[in-house]
Amino acid sequence: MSTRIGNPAQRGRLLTFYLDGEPWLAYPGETVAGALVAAGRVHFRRTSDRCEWRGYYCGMGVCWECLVVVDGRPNVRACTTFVKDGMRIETQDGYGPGETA
Amino acid sequence: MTTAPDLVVIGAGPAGLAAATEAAARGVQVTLIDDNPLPGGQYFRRGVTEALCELARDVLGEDEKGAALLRIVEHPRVDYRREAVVFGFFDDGILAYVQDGRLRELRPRCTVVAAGATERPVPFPGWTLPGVMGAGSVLNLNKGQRVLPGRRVLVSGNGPLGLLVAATLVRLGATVVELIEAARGPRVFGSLPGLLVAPRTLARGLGYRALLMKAGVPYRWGHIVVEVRGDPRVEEAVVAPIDEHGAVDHARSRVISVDTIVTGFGLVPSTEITRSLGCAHVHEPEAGGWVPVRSADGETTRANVFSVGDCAGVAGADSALVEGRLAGLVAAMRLGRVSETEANRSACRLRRRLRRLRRFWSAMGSLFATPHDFQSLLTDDTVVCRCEDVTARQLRDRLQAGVVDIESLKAVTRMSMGRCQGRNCLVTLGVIIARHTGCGVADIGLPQSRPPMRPVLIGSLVEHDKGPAKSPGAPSAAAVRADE
Repeated sequence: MSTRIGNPAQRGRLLTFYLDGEPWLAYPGETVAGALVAAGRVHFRRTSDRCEWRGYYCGMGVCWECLVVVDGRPNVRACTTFVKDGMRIETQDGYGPGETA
Repeated sequence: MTTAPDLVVIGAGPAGLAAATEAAARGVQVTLIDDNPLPGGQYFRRGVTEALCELARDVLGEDEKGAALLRIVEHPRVDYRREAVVFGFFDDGILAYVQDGRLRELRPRCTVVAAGATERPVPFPGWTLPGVMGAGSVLNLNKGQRVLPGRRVLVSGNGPLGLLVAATLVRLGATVVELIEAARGPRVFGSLPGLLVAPRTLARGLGYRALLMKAGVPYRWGHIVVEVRGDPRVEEAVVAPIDEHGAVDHARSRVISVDTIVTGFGLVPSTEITRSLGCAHVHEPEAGGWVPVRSADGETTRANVFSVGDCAGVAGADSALVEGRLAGLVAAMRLGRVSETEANRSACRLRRRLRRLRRFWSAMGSLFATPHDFQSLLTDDTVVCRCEDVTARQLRDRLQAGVVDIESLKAVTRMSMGRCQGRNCLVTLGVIIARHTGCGVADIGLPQSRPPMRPVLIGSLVEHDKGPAKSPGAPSAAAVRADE
């Protein structure tokens, strides 16, 4: 059961997106972070040095803790990115794919 | 060609919207720059679909007056630039910003900075664990997403923000296990006269308190979260009492089983824009830290640059609305759209209101005064800089090796050089250096603020347009609606 408040069906038609290949559900207007937090998933990435999990934190685009890889593009903030049907999200490791640092 | 609007307002929260409204009403051409898909800032945040707004009507209900304010973005004299990020200010007063993946330029005659504030970072062991969230982020989830942060929540804070979040979560159906407050008890005696200046706001606060009581949520004063554990998300929190000297009494700590911790220790003004403009700043703890030096009308030490709302000193949305109007009015006068006599007549009223609201805010500060310093929970292994994984031990080692100034510490540890640009760590860094050197935080200062004001993609700097976009950028809200 999700932590969406009220009747989810009122949000519009169901969308499907993928997190590390697994299908997850969302509704129009939800951010990647919003849909994941609603499903109880708050860990989104691992840090480069200490390999610690990080996730949804400031919720307004300033802390950059909620970074994920969206359709192959790294360093995308889950809290400011709206879910689209079929979107492919990956948890991000360090600086993400293409890392050279 | 570089466009030269009369007035540029940076930020479309309460202060920026009020400034734009007042100036546009006086005949000023306004460019309103904001990084969100919708106007309103954090305070008036809404969902981007009609359905989400409808679902959140009860959370947003209190802010009906905001609805009128939000419509200013449709005013014919307001050029509203959504999802636009300020890059920086350059020679000849050129302001560069990025919108639609392109760098654009403006040369404003007057500027109102209304950049808001960010969550005050309070590092403790486990504060980086997923499931630990800021109060503002939880309110955003409620307002914009209509989602609860978790099932069993502990709220630990200082000031009215913790009370607001706890009451909102209870009302929306979450289990708030406890609300703990770092102040040792409400200092009602000295604060009451000031609090009575704004009876409606006071009544709202008492309403939140009553709601918690009815729900059986303990509101424990003189306590703070000292450690969080879990893998990969929060499973338990350790809370401990604070003694009369502000020290945490770890011997009397207890463990609470929760899945979410909300921290609300107040806000820090976003001064990167006024600092990059070379405006003088001063350290005022009761205003949230470093704030620009301002005239009674909000003008900084740089002529025709105003700073209003929380970015000029945290004082809440009501003050922000009045400060914004005042700056918009004075800007209109400077631009010759209002006579000095008329501007002064209206300004007088606004200044009086502002003085009253400031009395209220300062009473709120004394009501929640705490002897605790919020920086003594750090252990050697606590991460201070989230972006670059810098721990307190790494900083202390460098300090002991003689690196004691903020710019050098940045250079050798990469602290504050990551994507958040120091928003999560500079406050802590200032306190750590102050402790080591025996100076005051005010003597440490802040590092130089340089472009970009917020991270932007390198590609957008290559796509350089010397003017505004021909048509407003593809609004993501509309894109989302198309998916419905």
